[in-house]
Amino acid sequence: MTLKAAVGRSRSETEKVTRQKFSSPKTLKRSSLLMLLIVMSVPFVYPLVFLVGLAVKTRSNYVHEPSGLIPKQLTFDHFETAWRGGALTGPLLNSTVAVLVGVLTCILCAMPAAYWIHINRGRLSGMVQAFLVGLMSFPLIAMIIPLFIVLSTSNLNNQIWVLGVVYGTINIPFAVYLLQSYFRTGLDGAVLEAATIDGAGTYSTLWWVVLPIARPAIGTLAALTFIWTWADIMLAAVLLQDPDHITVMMAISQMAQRRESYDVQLGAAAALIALVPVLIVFAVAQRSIINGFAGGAVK
Amino acid sequence: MTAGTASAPSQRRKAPRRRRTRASGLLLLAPALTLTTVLIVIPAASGVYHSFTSWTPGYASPWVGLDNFRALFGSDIFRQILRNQAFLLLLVPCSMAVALFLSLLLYDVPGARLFRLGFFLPAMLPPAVAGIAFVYLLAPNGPFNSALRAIGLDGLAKSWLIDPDLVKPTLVIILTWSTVGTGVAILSASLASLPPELFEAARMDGAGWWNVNWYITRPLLRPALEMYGVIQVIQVFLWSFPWIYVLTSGGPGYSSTTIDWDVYVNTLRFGKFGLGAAEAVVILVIVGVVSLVGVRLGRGRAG
Repeated sequence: MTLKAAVGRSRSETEKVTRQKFSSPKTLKRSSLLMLLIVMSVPFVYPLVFLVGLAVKTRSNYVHEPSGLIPKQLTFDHFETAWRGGALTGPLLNSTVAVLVGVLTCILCAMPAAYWIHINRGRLSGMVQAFLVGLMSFPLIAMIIPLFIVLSTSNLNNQIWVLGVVYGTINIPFAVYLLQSYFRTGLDGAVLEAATIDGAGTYSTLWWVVLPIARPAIGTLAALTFIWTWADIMLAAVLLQDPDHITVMMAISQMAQRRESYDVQLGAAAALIALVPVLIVFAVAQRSIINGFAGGAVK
Repeated sequence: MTAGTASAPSQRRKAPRRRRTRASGLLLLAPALTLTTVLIVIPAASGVYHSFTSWTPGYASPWVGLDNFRALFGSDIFRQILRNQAFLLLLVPCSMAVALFLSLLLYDVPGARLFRLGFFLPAMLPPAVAGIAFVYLLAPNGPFNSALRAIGLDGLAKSWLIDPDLVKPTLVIILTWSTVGTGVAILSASLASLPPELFEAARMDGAGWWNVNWYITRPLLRPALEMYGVIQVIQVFLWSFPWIYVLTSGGPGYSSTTIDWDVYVNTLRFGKFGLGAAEAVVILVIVGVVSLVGVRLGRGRAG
């Protein structure tokens, strides 16, 4: 029997089973399954909830009930202090610049490269693709120290824009991988041929035809690159040795490391402030991100 | 290259077009190739070269052959570091099992997307932020221990991140927490692509939950599981640095030091550039081998 017929047949049978599910002990099974899922998801969400609770309690509430989950008294003072202190505004600006430069560099380089790989299918293109995509599993520690040394000697260290360009570069492999697989499934050869027949050169086709089609992939890519780059510690810790020029992630980790004088609530507030951009980007792009991760396996 | 087998006349016809495409093509490729070569490949090559020297940046760095490597493999500290890395590899089976379990639970459940989001959230939290949360949570008098004491399990209220025997298992659990979401996303999508009548047929034949999943689902999920497995191994060697930076700084002593953390400390704090470069070579070799295995697995799948 054809697959279509098989699917059709099983669909009506699935309906029968579903109807049975809701009128039998299977309902108990389903609600206990939901209970189990809820219980299992608590540890995944708790640390963030805890951090929020910590940052939002008043001082006396914290002193009396440091581990209580529900704050008895709310305050936003800690956020204000963390912000006012000025220790965060510089790093936030640095992170923003570095990430924006990174995302821009990544997209500007990866997009044409993925396009080239796509339209020049062949042995050379395969090698280029293998090279670029293979770099995805490259241990950055092996390049960041020598790079740091070169930059120090040419006085280019502690520069945020340099960090940004490095960020962009290390994300090129993943970007090429993502864009390339998007092109393979979503870029119809007929569309490209039609553009060529209409007299469009390679660059025009790229700009007017490919770019609009690739917009969703570019969006996912920008979101993921933003989130990863914002969260980076290793590259920033190596390339930015000057305490006046650090990223926000370094700022909050350094705050947390000064354990003696450490104000736990202030640290939590600072960490949450540093988290906001990531949450915004994730909220906007979460569906495409989660689907993007999934896309690689379904092939 | 692909058109090279064409006969002479068609080659002459094709040549001008090919030349034009190649020329404009290269400009498309140039930025990506240039940046990756200049910022990744060349520094790495320099590092590999200097691992055979007594590297003193700014001054003469004389060739010392395998001395750095001899020092490395002869050192107890490095052996401890290798043991640490091996232990951290427990992350791989741990996260794969949990991700598989959660994905199976989520199969065909209403509201699965909401749960998937919840499991995925830790993956999006920067290690610095999540790390800070865990430092407080697992502090000797923090909420976790307080909760344990409140239910009478005083003996279990340990110094999770400070006890040399507990710090590595704690790290594995934290890393699992952070990376399970990715696995759930990958495995859920793979599960969703499987034809549902397969399960119905098995269930109607009387197979229980365990049998269905072990004999039918698992083999079908193998590609996705292998992909996630490789990602997790790479996670251990490549992306653990931020967690060490925030949670333990490699300590106590060297009980949670990873290779890349040691490179960082050796070069930027102790100035032992040659030694650090040698360690970087070790990582390069390990990751290279893992990637080759990953590629081999991928090819086997396609074959």
